[in-house]
Amino acid sequence: MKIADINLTTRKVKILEDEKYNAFLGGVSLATELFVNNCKPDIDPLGKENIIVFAKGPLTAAFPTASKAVALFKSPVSNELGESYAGGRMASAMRFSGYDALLIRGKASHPVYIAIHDDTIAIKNAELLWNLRSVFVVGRVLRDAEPQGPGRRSFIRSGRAGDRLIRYANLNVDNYRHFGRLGLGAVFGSKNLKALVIEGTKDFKFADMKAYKTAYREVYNYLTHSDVMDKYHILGTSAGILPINAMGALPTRNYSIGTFEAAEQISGEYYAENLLLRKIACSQCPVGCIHIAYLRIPYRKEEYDVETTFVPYDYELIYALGTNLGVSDAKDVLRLIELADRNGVDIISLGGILGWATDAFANGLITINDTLGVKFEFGDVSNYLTAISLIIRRENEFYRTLGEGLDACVEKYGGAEYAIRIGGQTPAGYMTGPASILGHIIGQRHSHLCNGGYSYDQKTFGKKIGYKEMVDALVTEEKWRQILNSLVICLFARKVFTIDRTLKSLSSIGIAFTKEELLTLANETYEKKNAWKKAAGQIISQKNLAKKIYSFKTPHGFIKKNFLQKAIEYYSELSGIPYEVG
Amino acid sequence: MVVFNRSLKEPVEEKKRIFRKIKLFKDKHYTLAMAKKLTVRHLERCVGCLNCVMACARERFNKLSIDQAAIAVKAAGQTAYYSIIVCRGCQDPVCLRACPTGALRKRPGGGVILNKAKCDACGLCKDACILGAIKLDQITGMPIICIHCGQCVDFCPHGILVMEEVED
Repeated sequence: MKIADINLTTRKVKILEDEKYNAFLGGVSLATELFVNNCKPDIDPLGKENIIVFAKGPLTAAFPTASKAVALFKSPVSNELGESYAGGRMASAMRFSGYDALLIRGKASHPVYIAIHDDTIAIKNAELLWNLRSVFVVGRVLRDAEPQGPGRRSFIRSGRAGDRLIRYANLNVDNYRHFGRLGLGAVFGSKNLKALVIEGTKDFKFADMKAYKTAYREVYNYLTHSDVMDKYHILGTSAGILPINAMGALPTRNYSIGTFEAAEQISGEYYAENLLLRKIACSQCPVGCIHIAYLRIPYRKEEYDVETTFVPYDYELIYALGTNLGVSDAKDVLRLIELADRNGVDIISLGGILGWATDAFANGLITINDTLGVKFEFGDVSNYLTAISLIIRRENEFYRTLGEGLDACVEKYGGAEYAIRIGGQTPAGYMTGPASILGHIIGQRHSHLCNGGYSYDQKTFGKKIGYKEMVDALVTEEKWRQILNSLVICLFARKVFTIDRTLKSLSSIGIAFTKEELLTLANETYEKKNAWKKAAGQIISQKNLAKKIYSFKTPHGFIKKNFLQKAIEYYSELSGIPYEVG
Repeated sequence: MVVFNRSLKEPVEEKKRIFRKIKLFKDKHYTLAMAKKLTVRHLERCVGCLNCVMACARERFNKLSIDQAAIAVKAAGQTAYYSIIVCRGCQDPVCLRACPTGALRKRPGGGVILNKAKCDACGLCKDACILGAIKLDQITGMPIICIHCGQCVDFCPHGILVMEEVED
């Protein structure tokens, strides 16, 4: 394994080449090993002691859909372990520049970006990029400043939200993919780091190319000839809007209800038929699930002037800034997504915060003086657009607080009953039942993708599941996903990479792992993260769950406090993470 | 199987690889191959997945690489479609005319075949191809040129690349 250890304070770069890391396979397992040994659990996530580890996986670029990179850091949103994934060209660029992992520590004296071209790692001045109005402009400038390698290079950068330390700021990867959740953009901002450019020209040969080609073909054919990827390829994740609305699990108007009367008008079908510009793919992925809409907004109408932007959309974005804010026009949803995306904020978190503000405004917790004239009201897009701009500008005390996240909002203004948060952030919008909420609570990064609770709910409709059985199933799934996340395949392709296919793929490129070794590694990685989280002071609890969650009628009925508590206590017993009665 | 090249009228064993995908026509006097060349038929449909590039490197050059491939895909910013850069199979190749050492010869169906034994790695062929379809190997300096084998075609998920029959 080859690891670049980049210190922004001293501007020193160390290259570690050590075979001892081979045992960690790559991806999240490798990143965890590097992270827990280099980052103290009790540090300030926005202080210079925080570190960021990026890692690619063993299959990266060699197999289709092994296109993701993982990042570990201490999260300024949850104040515990930050774990985030992004597609685009980043992982592939890491492979061809020859690095298995990048470790970034310290804080630069002024804004910088890191440019990696094969063995060269340069830390360069980024003062001119700081606070630029759009992450897309940052990308464009960098493309000209670092012209090498079009087609294989990757640009990872924060937006204004990151520069201004909005805690849920994201990182943009190659325009349309993101390290979305848990505030990696703010960690970049706190380090005076604006961007990371990665490009390389290395090539690789495996011992048995014939075996590699055969294994590749098997995975490729399964991906392209079976229907397993249809959901992602055809309509994209927004295919979920209508079915999830139909089952009553689509959070609407800040989790007041599970169906949205205008779901058809902002469905994946509507977008695909009316606004889809094109689909694009991450490197080495034949699926091409990235759906990009065009948004055409006329201005100076008498002169027929228009501004046209290109906006990626997904299920989570449509829920967060659409149904959850009661916005029923597909173009209006795109306008909100575009503004948030251009500034680099996590859209799911933003949706939760605007939802809270709307309820808090209606109930008099905040006044028009706080909001500077913005009348928060579900469905009112122009007010939401203004509010997003004011959050990004950190305009006054109120908007500064909105930029600090839901926990800070509740602490200052109250309204815990409207703050939909698990681990400090709003969940991903699948109110399918108890497993979805429990999955977010016990998941190591409080994401729906930790353990797929929403999927477990859907598989168990009509069945009564005991809390032990549910926790066991979620933990088993989360542990297995440590392997998938060590390969760093896209989780959309999780059905393709079964244990057999995983072992075969690894062995075809000369990586000898047995099933037992993989499972042991998964277990160790999971435990190691939990131990760090425990040391960081994590307490597992439903204390912060809003009342609205319990009064939400999911397809499994109401979520019961008792049931969750028993599950939490059982999980606490399993994991050793202390619990709290909520 | 011996494949006859109509223009040469002699068996060309070493070209078997090139002709692997060529459709064969039976004739009572000789077996004749209808030559094909790689064509980008639906450029505008490209999603930028790079699977054609990876296929070329893997299947033809036995490597995992983006550079060691005779086909390249480049993004053209947010507003335009991707560029797929590959030899267009000229009948009267400009790169061949630029080669001072005779290392390039015409390929049946279009394009050129490189004879490494004659190549001085001067790079003039690369300069002559303004499409940018010729890259130079970073180690040897010799051109990396598409041989129109069609391996990439199988790995394009959108049917953008096709092998097109060419009349001699």
